[in-house]
Amino acid sequence: MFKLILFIFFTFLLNTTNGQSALSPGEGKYFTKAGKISFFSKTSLENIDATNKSTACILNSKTGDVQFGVLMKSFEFKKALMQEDFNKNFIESKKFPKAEFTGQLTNNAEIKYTTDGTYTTLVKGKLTLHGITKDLETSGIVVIKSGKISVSSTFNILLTDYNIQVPKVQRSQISDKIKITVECNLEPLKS
Amino acid sequence: MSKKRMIWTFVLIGIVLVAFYFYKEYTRTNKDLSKLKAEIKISALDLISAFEESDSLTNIKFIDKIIEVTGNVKVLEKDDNGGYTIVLGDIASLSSVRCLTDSNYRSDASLLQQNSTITIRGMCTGFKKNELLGENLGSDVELTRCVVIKK
Repeated sequence: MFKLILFIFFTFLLNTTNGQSALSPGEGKYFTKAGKISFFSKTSLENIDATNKSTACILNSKTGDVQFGVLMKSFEFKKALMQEDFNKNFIESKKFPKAEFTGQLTNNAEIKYTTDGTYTTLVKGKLTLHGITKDLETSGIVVIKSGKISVSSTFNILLTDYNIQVPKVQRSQISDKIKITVECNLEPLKS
Repeated sequence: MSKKRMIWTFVLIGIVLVAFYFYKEYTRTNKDLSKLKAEIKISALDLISAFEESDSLTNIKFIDKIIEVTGNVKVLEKDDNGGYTIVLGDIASLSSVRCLTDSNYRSDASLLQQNSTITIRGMCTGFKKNELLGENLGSDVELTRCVVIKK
């Protein structure tokens, strides 16, 4: 009995000295499977945009860790020919069906997840696209409202960084610099 | 008509036809799936199971195919632009078939009731195991350009 009391006492002490109680799996995490990622290419000849509305995203509010996963074939274009070219020739979605981002909000400690507010954050991580993983650093916005979290970010990538080849005849139509916009409304993950 | 003029007329007609073909091809939009026949008919739960059992083999069978999926409406998601995603599957499971509706058929999707059984025709774009930050968020089969066939 004495040993049991000692065990409970030290467990309590350990948790309080860490500054937080022990977390159950999923606690402090927010997610969606209906996130939106769109990209935009602008040239003097043509503007091209496409959107994916089934992006999976999870954010750990305790650590600031964040991860996104997206199926390349689920990007929808206005023109069928561009969608076919994107999947077959540029992104090679049969060979590389998914893109993924894993990173962290660097100023996570400044974000008060329990009170409503809007925060500007810096996100650092790795983006894997077309089978190539590159470091990515961008700013983002975290909005907390009534227990729900919205995250958004806009950044540019270069197609050449991810070894995405555009044939010479289409180079006037497709920019090397692609603007990517991410918008996710996250719900608490119930374990 | 002289021979030379005849040749030039044919060349001109040829150029116009080729230009017209390229213009049509360039501006072509995705086909309306309500007017096309499904290649495969399957229940939402069987489709999820098929992908979960063998991702690579099932990919070959279903991806880029027009499929008709019958299942329970778990959730009807409406995005900021008025688009609908119909999520089919078992309410108790995290795994689903996510059907992005064709923008021309939004009104059909808007009338759907949660927990009703419906049939959707859509283009299968793949399967995603959502294991993120050590959490299993369930797996999703994704369909685009979906139209509601039976409700």
